[in-house]
Amino acid sequence: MPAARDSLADYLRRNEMRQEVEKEIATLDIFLIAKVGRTALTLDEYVKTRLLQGTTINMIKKDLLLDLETGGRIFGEFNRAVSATFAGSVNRFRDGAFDSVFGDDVKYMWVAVLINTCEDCLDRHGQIKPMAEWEAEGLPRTGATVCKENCKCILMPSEVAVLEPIFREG
Amino acid sequence: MLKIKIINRIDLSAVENMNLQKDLEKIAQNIIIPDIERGIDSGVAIVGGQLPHNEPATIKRKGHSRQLIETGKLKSSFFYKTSGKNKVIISISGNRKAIGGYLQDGIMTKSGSKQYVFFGISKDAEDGAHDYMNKRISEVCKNASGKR
Repeated sequence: MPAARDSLADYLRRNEMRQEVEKEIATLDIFLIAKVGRTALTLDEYVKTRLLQGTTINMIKKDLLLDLETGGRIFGEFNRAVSATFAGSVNRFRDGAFDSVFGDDVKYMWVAVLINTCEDCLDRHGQIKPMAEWEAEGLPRTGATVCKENCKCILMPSEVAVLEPIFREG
Repeated sequence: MLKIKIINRIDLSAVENMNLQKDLEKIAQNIIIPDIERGIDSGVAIVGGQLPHNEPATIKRKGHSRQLIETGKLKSSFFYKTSGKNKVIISISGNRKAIGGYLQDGIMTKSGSKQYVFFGISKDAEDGAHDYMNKRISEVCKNASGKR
């Protein structure tokens, strides 16, 4: 969490904004994913089972709270899922979590702002491709287009992308 | 009786992670989405600090200086959906997703580039999710011990 007086630019400079973070910012989707095994128990089932196995309720509670606090094997995934944007968004996209939600066949539309847009971005505007192809061709702001790091384009999942005149605020 | 026998054979040392689907849904609905809405109401970015000020022309058009608020549609467009076991997606509906994308990604104005980072999980929301789970653990333990 940056200090209140930090500008976003300062914060990003210090934290070396990563591609995964950019994805969370640009696609405007938060994925709360706590990977879990097929036989995973609910919290209630876990507590009942340990009680039946003879553990005291105080010990169960203490173990669970400690695991939550330290991000242990029970709540580690939960902690990752709810961690704050920037620190958390890197984790949320790690291990292919993004593909596990939408599937490998999800395609992304290149959407340009259409104000002072460079010819490369105008050409890409509206094109739909899988993320792997966009990564090979060059993501926005990676220098693959004439506008280089000044690029204002975004990649959006094609199923939610809407191409229509953009009002600046609202 | 049969259920108890099966449960008793579970090796809890091998249990990894927890089925928290319902909890993730409650956290999305009651903590993260309201937190994003509060951020817009108070003009605070999701990563802390104030959102950039509106341009004078924008303030004149809207009649007020509150960032990201004009028709009210953006603030009412956040939703969550489930996506399998332990998966919840929080997103923005309709064309507000595209508009929000530009604002969050950064727009060029007469006074320079401005980035309105309003969507994400704030430190407050992260702390709220932990408080929620803390209370859930206490509640489940209390109920379980009461039933014994």
